[in-house]
Amino acid sequence: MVFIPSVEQISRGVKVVALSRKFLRSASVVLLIGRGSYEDPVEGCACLSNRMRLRLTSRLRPFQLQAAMDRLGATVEAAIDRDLMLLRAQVPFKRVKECLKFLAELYMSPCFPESEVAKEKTSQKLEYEKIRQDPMLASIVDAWEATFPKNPLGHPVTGYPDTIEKLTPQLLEKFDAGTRRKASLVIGIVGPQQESVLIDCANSFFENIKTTAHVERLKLGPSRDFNIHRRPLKVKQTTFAVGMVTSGVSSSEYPALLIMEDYLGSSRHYLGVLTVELREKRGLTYFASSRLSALRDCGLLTTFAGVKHEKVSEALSLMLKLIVKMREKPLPEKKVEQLKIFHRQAIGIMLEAPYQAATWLASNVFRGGKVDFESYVFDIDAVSPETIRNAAKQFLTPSRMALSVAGSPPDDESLMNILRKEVE
Amino acid sequence: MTAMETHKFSNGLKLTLERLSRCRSTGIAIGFPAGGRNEETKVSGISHYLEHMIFKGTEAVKNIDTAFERVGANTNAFTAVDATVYVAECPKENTLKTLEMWLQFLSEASIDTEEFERERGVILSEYFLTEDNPEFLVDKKATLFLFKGHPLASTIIGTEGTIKAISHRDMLNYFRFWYHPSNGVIWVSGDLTMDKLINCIEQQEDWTKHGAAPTISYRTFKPERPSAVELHCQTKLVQIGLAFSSPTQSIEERASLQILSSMLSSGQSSILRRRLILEGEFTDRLRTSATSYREAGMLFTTFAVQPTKVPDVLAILIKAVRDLRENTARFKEDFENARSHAVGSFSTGIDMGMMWRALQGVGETLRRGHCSWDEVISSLESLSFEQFKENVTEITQPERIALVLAGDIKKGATRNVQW
Repeated sequence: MVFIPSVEQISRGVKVVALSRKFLRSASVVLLIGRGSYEDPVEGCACLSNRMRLRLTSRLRPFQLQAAMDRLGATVEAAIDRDLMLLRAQVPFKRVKECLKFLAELYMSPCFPESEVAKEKTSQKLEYEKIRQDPMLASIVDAWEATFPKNPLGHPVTGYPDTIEKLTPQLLEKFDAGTRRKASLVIGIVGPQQESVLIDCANSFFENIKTTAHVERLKLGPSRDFNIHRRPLKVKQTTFAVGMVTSGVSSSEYPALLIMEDYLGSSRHYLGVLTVELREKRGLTYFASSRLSALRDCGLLTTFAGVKHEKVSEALSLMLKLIVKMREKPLPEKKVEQLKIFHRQAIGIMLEAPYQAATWLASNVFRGGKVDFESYVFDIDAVSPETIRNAAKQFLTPSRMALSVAGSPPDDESLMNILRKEVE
Repeated sequence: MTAMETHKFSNGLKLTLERLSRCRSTGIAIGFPAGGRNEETKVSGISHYLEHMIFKGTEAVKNIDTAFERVGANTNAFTAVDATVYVAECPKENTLKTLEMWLQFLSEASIDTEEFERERGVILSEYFLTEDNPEFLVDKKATLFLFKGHPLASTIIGTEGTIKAISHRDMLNYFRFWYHPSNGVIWVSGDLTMDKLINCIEQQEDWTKHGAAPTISYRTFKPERPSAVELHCQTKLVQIGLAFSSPTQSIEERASLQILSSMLSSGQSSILRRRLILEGEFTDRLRTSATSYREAGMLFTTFAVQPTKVPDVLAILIKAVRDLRENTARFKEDFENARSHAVGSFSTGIDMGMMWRALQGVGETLRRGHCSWDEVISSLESLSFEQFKENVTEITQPERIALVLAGDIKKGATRNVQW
């Protein structure tokens, strides 16, 4: 498979990455704004400011804006990560130009009247609560908090109910102004039109935007001992997640981390070692997987599983043994080769799904990853059992690990004993 | 226009090729009309359990995931109320190999006794996951309640009791009875030719054999005033689910259901989004689905609210439903916005990925005997407001509405709900 997206810098601080797939009926557009929750002056600020973009602009009042989206036939959503904010739209391909114009307005002209901010704050608090009553979601979010204590990387992107309450229109305006002044902006577009046509469309609405192409470096906190986050919930099974601090997309270890994620089991590669050992061989769980959330300068590898309350210790011990094994012994060469071939093919297939492809392309441009398929594959091909082991030795260590448990967790001492026994 | 080619084998097996020129990957889906609706109550969940067992391999190939992995194929499977579908997406050059593998694994599944028992734990874990997630929980209960007394009333996953009770013999009998090639549907989306696909399938004797296939007795659905259910559980938020049954015989009725979905809750400017999120401060997000089964459709929307807000939210829901039923003419402008949203959602839904594309194609073919994206889009674009009004008046009749509340709610919270 060969995919060669076009990348163009259309003005200072604004890049466009476009990929043409002829058979599509729709186009996907991603507007990536290079500031995320890491830069929150008060926890939840970036998230709320981005959510407000979908409520109103200085020209379009609430309901007018949403009606305009529906008339376009567009599905638009706002998303946030530690290092970036996203506005994502999917639209019938003939409306891609109108869609870009619309997104430009959402980006350039947000509006923060007090009464509307108050409503959106209520929504954001509800989102916070909703995540915390679902053991799977809660354990994954808590893993960030446990892994990055007292670090802006750790706090939930939504903020907390009390910090959300503190957010004022003035604070949001100030944050938003800073966003436009010093953010890097990346526009990802995938549609059936030629790449040059897609880039021209973006050019017509974004060429005059000038930013300083600023990218905030994400800093890790000092090394520390294991950290455990417990969340008791009255649910039928308990979910636990092990978080491990890694390097980011722009690092030399990133390709090895991707193969490591596939080896453990990922959304790309379902049949990882966690699924085989916990689900297939022992019938302990429906889901046991991993997720690499790689930012520009650092990342978090999370492994998680949901099991019967009384099986938490057994399943956690097994999961930790499988993680530790990677740093003690290189993976079999044949296995690594299979994983590399599968990874290449999976990325090729993903690039034919416009929504995923546009997000992948834009975030890789922003985070310093490869977007040209051949260069990307070249890096993946260079991964070996040794590079994986080296990454495992570097990242899968007690000082970089934390545990979160949501449901009916064993006591702290038992959990700590398991961590010390299996990992140290 | 999309180039669709169809072929029917002499035993009844249907094949559709959606030709996508210059596409570098392929989507494959193989489906049987074997879902929750076919199950006896005591083995409720068996279709889904069988879907898991298929992945346990054959006598010759114990680990089918590894086999697929070798050809770069990403696979999955889905069990619905009326179908079970096995899917794959793979690089274009491995299409025939991937298809051949799925055909073999589906006809030669060994359903090993030991694996069957081990998988029970996995299924129970999945069941608990659906019980712990308020959105899933409310969805399951709404389906049961809405179609009470009709085969469409299925949770798909079953209950803890039935999952524990399904025997290995039940499973083998169900597999042999329902996975009959004459009832099967195969869908391929990609850049390849029909003759190669036909040749590949004809080489699999099990798939071209003749014989009596089980018939499904479709029963007219008569709505019977479902009203409201309260599930009392200790969660911080209350999850609310609102469901409507709808007629789905004609393409206009199905188009009406999709546009109503956009107008009521899935559109950004939908009635409930406006009243619950933009004007009020009741919830953060509405999750909506609209499915047209053979005998009836289901429009379902769910969202979470603070317990103290429940009375106000119920009043909003009642008003919205009454407005739609009694003052439909007022929604002419909303109708045009909702139509654009429905067309856009459908187009982008097809482009979700090769696997989803094929999955939707098989689902629609199993339900209607054929599938055409252009036909669906055209039905949405050509539906008149008059036809829509008529269908909405029917869908919003009180006997077609089910309401489910799950959370720490007062007993009798729904007592006064009158649609």
